[in-house]
Amino acid sequence: VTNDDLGELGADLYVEELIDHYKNPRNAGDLKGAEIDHDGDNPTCGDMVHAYAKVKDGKLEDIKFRGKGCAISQASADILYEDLKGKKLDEVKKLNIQHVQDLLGIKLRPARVKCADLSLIVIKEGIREFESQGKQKKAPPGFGKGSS
Amino acid sequence: VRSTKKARSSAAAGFDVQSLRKDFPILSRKVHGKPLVYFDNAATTQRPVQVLNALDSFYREHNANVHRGLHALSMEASDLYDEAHEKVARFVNADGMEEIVFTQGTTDGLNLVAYAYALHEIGPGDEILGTVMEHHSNFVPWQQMAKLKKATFKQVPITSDGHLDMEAAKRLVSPKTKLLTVTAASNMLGTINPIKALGELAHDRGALFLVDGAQSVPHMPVDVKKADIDLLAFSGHKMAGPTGIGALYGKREILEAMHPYRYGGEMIKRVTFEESRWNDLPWKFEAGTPIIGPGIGLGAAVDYLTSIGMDNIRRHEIALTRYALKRLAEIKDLTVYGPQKAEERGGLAAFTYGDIHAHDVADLLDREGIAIRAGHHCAQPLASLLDVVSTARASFYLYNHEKEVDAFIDALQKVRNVFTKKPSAKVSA
Repeated sequence: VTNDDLGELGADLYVEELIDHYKNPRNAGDLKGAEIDHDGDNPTCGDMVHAYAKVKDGKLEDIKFRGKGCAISQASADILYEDLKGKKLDEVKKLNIQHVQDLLGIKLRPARVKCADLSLIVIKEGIREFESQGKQKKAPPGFGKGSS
Repeated sequence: VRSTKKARSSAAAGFDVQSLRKDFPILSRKVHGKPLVYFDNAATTQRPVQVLNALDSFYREHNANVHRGLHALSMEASDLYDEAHEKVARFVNADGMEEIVFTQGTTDGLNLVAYAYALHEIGPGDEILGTVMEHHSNFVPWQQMAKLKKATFKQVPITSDGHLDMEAAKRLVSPKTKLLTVTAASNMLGTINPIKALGELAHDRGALFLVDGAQSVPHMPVDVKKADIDLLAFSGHKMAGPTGIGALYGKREILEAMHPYRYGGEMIKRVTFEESRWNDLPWKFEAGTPIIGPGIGLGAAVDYLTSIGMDNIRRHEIALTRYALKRLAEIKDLTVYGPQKAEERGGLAAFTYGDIHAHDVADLLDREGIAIRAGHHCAQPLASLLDVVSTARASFYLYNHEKEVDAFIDALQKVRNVFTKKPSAKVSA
């Protein structure tokens, strides 16, 4: 682990824009009748993100969130969800943490990667949940009432 | 003659046993003035300096709690601990660390399955099928869980030559069978069981397939995908790793379907006054501060064994076992249990020696610096079937060699002499 990404007491990590998204999130709130309604936590520090999204023609028509947590988790949720508006579900499913890093434009220390990743994990889980609705999950062998 | 034989055995193994022994400091010590011959590897093995150094360097340089801290030490400890899971995953060909739960050992892993799976999924009328050759750790949990859940615990018998009776197994697996559990290699008979065939049998009837790998994972290549194993429990200390650590492999969808069985910190995502949400795999099953140091030590043990090659270790043990079986056959009144072909068994030999009790054999061998096990080997049901109370057991590992077997055979001859010696003088009161 190196400290060269810390800058002056980590000042680059807490750049003005990031703090602004944290204090004044553009996408805070919920959506009535959202097809995707899913939340998740980062147990290390208790970050929470609850995502709401309207789905139309296989795309995220609108997306909002409610959350609690550190500046990085909440600001990255706000910045990421702004970026995801209008994107295809299939496209979102393929995204990884690098996309969030690119959006933030800062280098994250290893311990903070999870904070920034939370909102992406939540929306990807939400999409998976949305797509598997109505599909019965097959129980593994030995599970479930009554044997085959 | 001796030296050519030794050279041949080392060549067959694909590694040089003599130079490898230097990695294990304890092997150079003396016991009762004699060079140590350590033949109790089925109970626990010795550790190489590579494992000792990994433990030492963790505690000296990186020690911190994992998965919580934002400070440098915590990140280093977390990385080392996660990486150890990845190493173990690669070792058994699992799909990443999500499928590897660190446990205290095989017993802990098997009990995890009893409480995280059977307690919730087994009900009245269901059947759990084991075998008569199970170690107590893969016998008692199912006997007791069956009682608790009003289910039935049955066992596949063995044939007269010490193999599992596969015809009986086919008859015993029924639509009522929820779980089929079997040891991959018997710690007493040495028998290596047909895991792939047993897995197919279980899956054909919709049963879960659990394997006790305590005596297989340390000694031979194990591939959970090839054998289609659902759950596999094994111990670190039987594979050159520290005590107090082991692993449970589980297919992801099975671990996901299983309930946590120990509750607390580390295993949760969110806790409210009413409800809790479980953490991701594998942490859902690792409540509390995990077994960090020994876990990292297990990763180092896996690195060590991988560097030697599990195929090589298996070949070496077959050659050594073949030699030991040949030499043991020279001794009058000595009976070795289990399959007689070295290829069909693990690197161990449990035996009785005429009417000399196993405890006397073990005691007298110890005086010669030779460490073996005596007793029922935690397989009392099997011992009662074979009608033996106690057997002596010599078990080998990668660092044992033919010269040690020779010393063992010589010592066994001495044991015979102690019991046949005529009293030379009256014992005075």
